[in-house]
Amino acid sequence: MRAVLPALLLLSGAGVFWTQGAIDRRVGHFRSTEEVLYLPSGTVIKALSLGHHGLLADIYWMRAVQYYGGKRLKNEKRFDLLDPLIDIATTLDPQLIHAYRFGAVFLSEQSPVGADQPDKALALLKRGIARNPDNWQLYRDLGFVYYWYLQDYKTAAEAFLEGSKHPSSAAWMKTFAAELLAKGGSREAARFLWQQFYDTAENDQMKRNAMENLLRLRALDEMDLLREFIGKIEGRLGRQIESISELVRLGFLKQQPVDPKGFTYSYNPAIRTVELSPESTIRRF
Amino acid sequence: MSVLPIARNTFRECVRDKVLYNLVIFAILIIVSSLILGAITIGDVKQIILNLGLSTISIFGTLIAIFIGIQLVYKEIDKKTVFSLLAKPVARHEFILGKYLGLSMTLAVNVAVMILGVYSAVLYLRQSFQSADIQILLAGGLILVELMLVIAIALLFSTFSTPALSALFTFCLYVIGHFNSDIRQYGASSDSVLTKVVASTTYYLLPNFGNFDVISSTAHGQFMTGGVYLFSAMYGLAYSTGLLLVAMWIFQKRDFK
Repeated sequence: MRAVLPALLLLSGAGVFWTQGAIDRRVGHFRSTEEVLYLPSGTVIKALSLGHHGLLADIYWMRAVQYYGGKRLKNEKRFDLLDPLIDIATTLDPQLIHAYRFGAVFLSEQSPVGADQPDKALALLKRGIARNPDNWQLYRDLGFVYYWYLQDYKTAAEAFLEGSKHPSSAAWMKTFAAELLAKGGSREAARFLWQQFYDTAENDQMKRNAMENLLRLRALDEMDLLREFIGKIEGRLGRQIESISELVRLGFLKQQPVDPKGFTYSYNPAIRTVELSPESTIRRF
Repeated sequence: MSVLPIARNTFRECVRDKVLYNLVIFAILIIVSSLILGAITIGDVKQIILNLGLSTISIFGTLIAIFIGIQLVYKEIDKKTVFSLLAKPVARHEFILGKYLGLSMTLAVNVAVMILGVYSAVLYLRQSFQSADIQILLAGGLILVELMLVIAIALLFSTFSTPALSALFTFCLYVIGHFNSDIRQYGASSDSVLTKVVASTTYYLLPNFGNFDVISSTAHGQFMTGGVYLFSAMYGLAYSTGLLLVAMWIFQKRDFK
């Protein structure tokens, strides 16, 4: 019996594994629960949590992160449950600051990186501010959504200014608000803001995102410089340049210039613009 | 004074019944969470560990308090061991108090070890402690008082009811106790004086488990001021004392013939 028992246990375990796999292969599509909220109201869930709403908020936030990550991996463009999941998480725990901050980024980013719903991101951040009026970072994020995703520089400046009134806020908020009103959507302003996000990022994801945008801005600067340079060479040669490699061949450049990620730039003579290589991983939006 | 020997015996009985085995599950949960949470979520992992750890302490403790608490008296009566015990110079109220303290001791050990586990997870994640971490200890203390209140409720029901019904009653009271502030709010928003009086009376009569809800604030590092911890603990102890007195009175009146 002693020898038979482990064998039988192993056999039954294998049986469970095999049959479950067979069932999933047949009815898996019908059992997908990914797009289900279970309970749609944060208020109801909070009432039913029997005091454990903090833990449930964490679970819902994790679900939101996993949902967003899963959609990104599959390159899907619809993020229908993202806003409700974040809303439930923040209703369960109104002080879940990172849910407001990251949630706003997930919602604002253009498709396919994000849900392309900056209006919902604004609503989320405004709820966050109403519940946590002492948190200046939420004002910064609100200003950022207005500035970066909606190009509404006036309202963005107002948000930065409002946030700067908090004693603990970063010193640059006030000056940046003034600069924004004066220069609008200039690249210097964008670089300054992304650099602030990079320097004060609280985790790797946020830092990586800021770095990607800083690299993109650097690539834009370099492309402008190249375009200007090509224009001068064309003026000197009295004819149009066909490619950047032609500049190298003619000795105007020592080597083919590359973007911050190491991919060569290309030149489109038809519209006279310098572009990123199709293989380049620099963000294009 | 036979209270302490009965309490010690109840504690030993709980240990023999492998009640403390839940600590193993808790340890696995905390260790695994500390290792993997950083990879599956964004944000403050320490906050999640505190929510998870303290909620688990409360949930495991509540289950133990209810399911062991309802059997404390019933088992002795069912096995007829209560007769030999009460034949000795043991007063009935001492029997109830001893049983209560025995299970409270078990849960105190349980909570203490789990809190130690939470502190270990925090140390692993942050490599150091901060002065605000004292709140974890305070939260643990308040959870223990909450559990002692649940034991008192379970013990009260077990003095006159069957285990199944006692479990049901205790659980219902535990759930209602979490909605207590809603009852008061309902009364406050009503125009009827009768509704106001009934709601207010119910509010003070039923146990208010919302008083022990400090998990979320602890996870956010918000220290509750104005003696909230102290008054909540005093509330729990006062309510438990009242329930124990009623349980003693019922047990005193009970005829075992």
